[in-house]
Amino acid sequence: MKNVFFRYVFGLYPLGLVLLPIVYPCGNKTTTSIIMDYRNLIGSPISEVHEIISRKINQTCLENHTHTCEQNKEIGSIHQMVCSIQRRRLHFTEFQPQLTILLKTIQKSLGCDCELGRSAVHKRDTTQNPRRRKQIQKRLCKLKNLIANIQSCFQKFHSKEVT
Amino acid sequence: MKPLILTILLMVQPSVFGQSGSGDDETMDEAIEPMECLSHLSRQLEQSLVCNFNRDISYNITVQVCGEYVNFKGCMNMTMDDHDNRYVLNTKEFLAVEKYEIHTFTTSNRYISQVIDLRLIIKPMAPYNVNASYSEKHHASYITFDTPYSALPSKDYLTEKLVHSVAFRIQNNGQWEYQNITYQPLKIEGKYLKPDFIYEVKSPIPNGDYFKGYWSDWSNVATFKTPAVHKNPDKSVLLYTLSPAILILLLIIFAIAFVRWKENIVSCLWPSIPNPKNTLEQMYKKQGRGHNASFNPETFGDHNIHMVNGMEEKVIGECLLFPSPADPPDTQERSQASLHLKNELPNVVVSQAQDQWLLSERCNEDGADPQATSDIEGFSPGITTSGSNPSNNEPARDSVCALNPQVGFQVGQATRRDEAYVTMSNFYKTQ
Repeated sequence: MKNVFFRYVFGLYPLGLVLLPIVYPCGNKTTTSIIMDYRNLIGSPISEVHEIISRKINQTCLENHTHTCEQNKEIGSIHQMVCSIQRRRLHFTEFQPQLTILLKTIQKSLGCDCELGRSAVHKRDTTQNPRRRKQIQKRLCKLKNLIANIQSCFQKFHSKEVT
Repeated sequence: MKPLILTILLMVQPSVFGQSGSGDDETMDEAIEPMECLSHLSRQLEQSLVCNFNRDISYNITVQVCGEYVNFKGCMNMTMDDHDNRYVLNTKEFLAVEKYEIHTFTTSNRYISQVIDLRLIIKPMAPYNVNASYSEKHHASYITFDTPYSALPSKDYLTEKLVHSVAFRIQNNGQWEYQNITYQPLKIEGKYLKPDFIYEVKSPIPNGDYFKGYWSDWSNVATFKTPAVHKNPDKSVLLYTLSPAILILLLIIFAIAFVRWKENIVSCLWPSIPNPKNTLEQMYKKQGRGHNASFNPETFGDHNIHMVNGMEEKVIGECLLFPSPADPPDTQERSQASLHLKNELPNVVVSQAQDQWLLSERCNEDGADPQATSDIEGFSPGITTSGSNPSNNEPARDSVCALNPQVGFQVGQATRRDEAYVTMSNFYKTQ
């Protein structure tokens, strides 16, 4: 009996506390601070980055439904999309500074970090190879879709919390 | 169990003193005071962090700013400015959302750290190109200026979040007056201006809900001269030209009126009427001319009485001249009645003149008074004169050969009245 008691008190609950940050990677940021950060630091830059990417695309992009904004889990959805951009190494030198600052700001605002595993490799996007150019366009489309989804998810979260 | 716990506690104790930065030989002279820092955040302009010590630092210190930057996580060293107490760090790596720690190290490896939030200590860049101009047309001055944030291609952190303050005063004299503005240009009405105002502009951050900070430096000074007296020139010119003209016109009118007063104006406004009563009568009676004719014997109003032949004339004259004695009262009454009737009816025509004329003709045949003839010659058949002049009637009365004084008397009686008529009913006689 005593063994069972001590196992529960000093076993499971500490384990749960340790595992909690893994289950909820986004931590101690309040809704109010996230909304204020969105209004002042994220809202305008994300629109500008979306516009820059759209100007570089020469084709019509197919809509990507891999990442969606889940109801009542907007923060988690945004975090997943940001980490997806980081993981896929979707970096382009032309608008790299703006994109990096944007992604970092979102991460810090949400209080979430992405586990990249290995450092992101910056791939060059300037090449005369037509197959390469097609690949670049495809990647740009993916990036554009992700940015658009992040933006719409933020707007959903903002409108839900403000009303 | 108890010794184990005590051992653990003893081992933990020394680690408590590791982090606060206080050393063994701490003295007042070498104490490091916290710094006062100012920041500048921007997406497109330069970002900076400037920190000042409150007093002179006599020894070398190292200042580091540690936290997460855009591309890495770590610390960056601040560089000392020309001023000894000032440390500066210019970098685009600052993240506005992040809190940073400032570590200040001395040569004896002591340090203090303080956490700063760059959003709350922003000092904006000062405005420039202040321009003040006075508009005669609007009687106001307009102040415009440029800020580094308004000229950027895209929206920055501080765009549209700054409240600017304009200070103005008489040049080198007097107290500064301040005016907060949010939109340009700032318009100052002429009534508030004094000559030789100078203007300065600075821009603070409002105590907003996200970005906070301090006033920027003052901009350059702009001056202009305002006119001393503010009057509407158009209106004054009009007043000065019109008022003498109006005065002269009034004088001319009064002079004309004074000179021609008695001659023209009085006679025009108040004409003299010699006999107002008769004039009014004539005006009144004239209305009856040309009105309806009535064949009623008592109110016979036929104007056009033509000359009758001699026989009829004679018969009528004899009737007039020789009425029956019993009749006089009746005829008199009747005549009076008829006269009365005549008096009442406005359409009644005076036929007295014609009767007189008839009588005179009769009398003329018998050798009548030529005076009467001459008097009556003025009357022509068919003409009615309302209210025939009694003066004319009197000689005619006398010339009725004194044959029938009653008739004359009757006629005379009638003529004495204002409206005397002799009608056909007078001649009507029941046998």
